[in-house]
Amino acid sequence: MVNLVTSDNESFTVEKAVASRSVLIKNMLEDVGESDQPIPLPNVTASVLKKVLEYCDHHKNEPMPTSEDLAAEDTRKRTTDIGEWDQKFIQVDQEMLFEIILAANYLDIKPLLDVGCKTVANMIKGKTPEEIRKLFNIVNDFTPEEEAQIKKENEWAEDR
Amino acid sequence: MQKKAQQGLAMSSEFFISTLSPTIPRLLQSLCQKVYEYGVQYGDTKAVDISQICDPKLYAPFCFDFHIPNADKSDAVDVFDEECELLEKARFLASEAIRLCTGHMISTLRTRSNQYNATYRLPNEVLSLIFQFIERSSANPLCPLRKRAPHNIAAVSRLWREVALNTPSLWTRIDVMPPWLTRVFLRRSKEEPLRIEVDANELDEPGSWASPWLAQDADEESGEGSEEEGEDVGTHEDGSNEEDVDNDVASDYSHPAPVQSRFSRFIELLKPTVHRWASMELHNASTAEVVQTLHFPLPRLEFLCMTRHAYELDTATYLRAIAPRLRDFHLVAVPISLASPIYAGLTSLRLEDDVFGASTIRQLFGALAACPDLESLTLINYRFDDPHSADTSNPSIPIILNRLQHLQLERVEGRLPKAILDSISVPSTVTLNANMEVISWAEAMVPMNVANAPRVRHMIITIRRTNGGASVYTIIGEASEEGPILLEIRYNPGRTALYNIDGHKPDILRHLGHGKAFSSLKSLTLSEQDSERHVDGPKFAEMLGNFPSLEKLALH
Repeated sequence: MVNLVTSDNESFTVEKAVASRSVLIKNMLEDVGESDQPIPLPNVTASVLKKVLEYCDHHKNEPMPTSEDLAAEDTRKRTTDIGEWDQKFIQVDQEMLFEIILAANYLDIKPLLDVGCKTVANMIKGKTPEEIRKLFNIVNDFTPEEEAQIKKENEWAEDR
Repeated sequence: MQKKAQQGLAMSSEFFISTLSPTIPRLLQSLCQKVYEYGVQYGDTKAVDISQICDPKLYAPFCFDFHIPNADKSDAVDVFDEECELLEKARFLASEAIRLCTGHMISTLRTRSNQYNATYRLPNEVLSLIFQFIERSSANPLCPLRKRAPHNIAAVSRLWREVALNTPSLWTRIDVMPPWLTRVFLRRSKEEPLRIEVDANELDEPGSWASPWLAQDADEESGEGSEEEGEDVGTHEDGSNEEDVDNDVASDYSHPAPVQSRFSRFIELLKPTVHRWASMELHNASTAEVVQTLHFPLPRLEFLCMTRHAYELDTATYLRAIAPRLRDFHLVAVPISLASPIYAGLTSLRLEDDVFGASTIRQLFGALAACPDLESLTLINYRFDDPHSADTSNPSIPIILNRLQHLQLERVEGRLPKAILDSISVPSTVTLNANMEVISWAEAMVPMNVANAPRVRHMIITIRRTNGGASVYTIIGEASEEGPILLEIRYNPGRTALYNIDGHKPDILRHLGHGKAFSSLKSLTLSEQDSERHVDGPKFAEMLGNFPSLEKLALH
């Protein structure tokens, strides 16, 4: 078993197979060897780690993606399709979605990072810049010159 | 002279900037302070009557001492007009300076405000990964919106734009767009592999949106294009595998015709990046146009798809381009001769709707021999120049296609499946789908060399009558009753009314399983959905003799 400690000082004891879905933790375990020492995760809160571990537990028996798998993803056939379970798992509010992505990136859990990024990509797809801004509460901060350049580029696309 | 004017302009620009630069921000700062203090609302001109600045009784005399020098020699009215015009120009400069200055200040503040946004917490590489998923997705059915994705993303905010412009794969899909924008995409995609999708109809539509840009660009680039062509012709003098090509056709393309069409111009525009072309979809371009344009090597191309409407007539021709990494080749109604060197090293070959016979069966075997790693071969509504040579064109040694998993022959001439199966050696894991159009029952021969026949354990034979009155035979072989279909052979009457030509009934069942090919068949279902009986007893008994392990027989 592995003991993980979150930034808000909560402890989680999980199976090694579950924790090792994180390449960061797996490497730490390999470096330290057998030890009862808790692993601190200063960038992850308890609520987010709970979600991340739920994902890791569900996928614990799947083979870890190899470098070949990752290279294959770069082909033109890469899509934003998400598995059924993953889709349900990632149905969270926007704040939590970004927290999961950040945690997956920090913990180096590539499949979870992909699920999070694909979910955001699906939210963005087919939306105009204004719709995207509204969706994520982003403010248009372009200077007048940049705005003019963008208008010129997008003029072509608007009629299509 | 022009240089002097430019220098003068640069100097004047410096002067204006040095005049406006300290003044405008100071003016805006003091105004902001007062607007805040007095709580002035946007657009509220009643509370603050700024027109009073022009009243000389209330404030310092409104002085404007500048006059055009030497004006006394001119007509007074003209001078006033000229001075008014000057004032208008100065007003324009001042208001532009205020607009730009406030624009930048607002932009800076909004950028700061965005720092608190959730998406801004993501590292740039993660945001970039999200953008890659958007562009690479094939799930979006809204084609125009899909095409707009890079534009939409890059127009959200300054950070998103910065990340988008530094995500090369976001800009790799090149379709028909104005040449200046194409260059923007090519530049932003850096050295990433490109996916080119060109619909020649979009280029050729009279008055289409791309036309003016393309016409303009073609004028600019005509010289450059011809130089490149000269170099390319030299590199392809030694085309291999040309012995089957008609001499006249070959000589037509040894000196490519001058490039004229918009399609050719578009390809020329992309040509400097040919080393990055990874996939290419060409729709509605004439075969001649394609052949004349693609006469240079395509070193990185892995996927090539060319489609036209099946009803459009086109001349069969030879494609000179060599694509050593091409694996997936798909043609629809584009009659590229199978003697072309592009048919080599493929893993997937799909040829559809060539009803005029661009190639010979011997050339098909030549192409298959050049593709030993072929995994999928599909011929749909495909005719050969020499259909009657199917039986005599077989190579002396079968072509070994150890990786073939899928063989589909749909709406092909009746003898073809047998000719192909007799000429290739494939693994038993292959799935076969043969849908033949026969004009005589003598043509309807069950292929003897069905590689996956030993895996078939359940077979369904159906005979039904079409609305036109002709019989259709279907043979389906499965690994089990619920298993996947391993084998589907269908005989359809061709366009000529079969049953009028051939009085006798089909005799195909007698040959089924000849040579004990279906050695593992356990279950056979025969379904005659026809009022007229097609299968007579002795022939049926003869067929059953070919299935030594049969345990279950069902007749419907």
